[in-house]
Amino acid sequence: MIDDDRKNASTANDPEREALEAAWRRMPADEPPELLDQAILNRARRDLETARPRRLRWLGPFATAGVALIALSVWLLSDRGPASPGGDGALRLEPATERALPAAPDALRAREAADAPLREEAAEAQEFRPVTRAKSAAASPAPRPAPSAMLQVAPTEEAAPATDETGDQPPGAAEWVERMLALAAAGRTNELAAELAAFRAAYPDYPLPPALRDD
Amino acid sequence: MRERSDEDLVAEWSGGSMAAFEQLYARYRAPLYRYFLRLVGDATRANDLYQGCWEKVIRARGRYRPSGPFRAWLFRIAHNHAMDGFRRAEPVTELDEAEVASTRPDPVAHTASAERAARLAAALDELPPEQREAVLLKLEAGLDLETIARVTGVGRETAKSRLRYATKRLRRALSGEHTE
Repeated sequence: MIDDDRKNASTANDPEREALEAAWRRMPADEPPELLDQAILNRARRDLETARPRRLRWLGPFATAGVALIALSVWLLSDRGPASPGGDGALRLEPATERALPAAPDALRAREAADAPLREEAAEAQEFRPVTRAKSAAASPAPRPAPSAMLQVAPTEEAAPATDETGDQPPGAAEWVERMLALAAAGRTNELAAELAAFRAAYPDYPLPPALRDD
Repeated sequence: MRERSDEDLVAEWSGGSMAAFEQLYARYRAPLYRYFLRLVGDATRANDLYQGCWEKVIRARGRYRPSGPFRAWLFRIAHNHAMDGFRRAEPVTELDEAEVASTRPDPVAHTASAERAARLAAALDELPPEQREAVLLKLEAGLDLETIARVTGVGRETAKSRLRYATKRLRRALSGEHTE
């Protein structure tokens, strides 16, 4: 190829230059020894072989980081807490697990969805009492419980027989009677009548004092 | 199929293709070797320079930019390597005719044209090194004047002057042959 270029370069020359270049082309076409060719080709081959791993050297840390990340994710997803103290089988998720949920595979998300009702039941079991107490407190803002509120929590059908069997009077009944006596003494007959009717409905067999009897 | 350019081959070689390097090497092995051989006039030194030059090319392949021709880049490395060799080694001794002939093919087989070529080779050896290099880059590597100036690190006029004097002396050698 170079020889061709040399020929092309001579086209526009004068006759002397053409003669010079013709003589130049007739000079011995010396070439490098074959051993030298092999040495150089081997050198180039070695260079390429060593350069290839050098280019892929970044893959090592990346692969290590990737494996570590996957291992961490698997560990976090599988590291569910033990069953709830009540032994009701409800599952508890660590906060980190819940953070990892959006990135979890579909199968894991489905499993979490199936576990959700159990978790809610467990939460409700844990929180039932406090919530009820809070509702009761909200329903009875007055420091003194109203008779109607007492009726809600005091079963009328069951309290009387218990009273008959044991002879003990429920403390609410005695207080209620005292309050009705106070109403009678104050002459608040309308209120007394309403309270008395409510009392008889709640305690049909409770012996009333003579001041409160109709007869 | 169209022959691949040197620059394409270098790109493939840099991408890891040994076959591309082999093609490049096949294109330039003979002219590069003759450049060194005719520059220093000694096969042993030429072998060393030739091998060292290719090692530099192999190491520097990542620095090659395709803005210029590969041929100019290659001979620039060759020039610098030869200059380093000249600095390290003793000055190149002028070889006498007998020594020059010993590096040439068997004189018995010479024809008239071969004899003329031998005379040309002798005249080349007698040139000052910088003129010899200029004519080698022109006639052996096929570089143009601007590239010769760039490769040898001199101005265009200096390169032109060197080339003119070298060509004149070589022509004279050929003419002298005709007068003999």
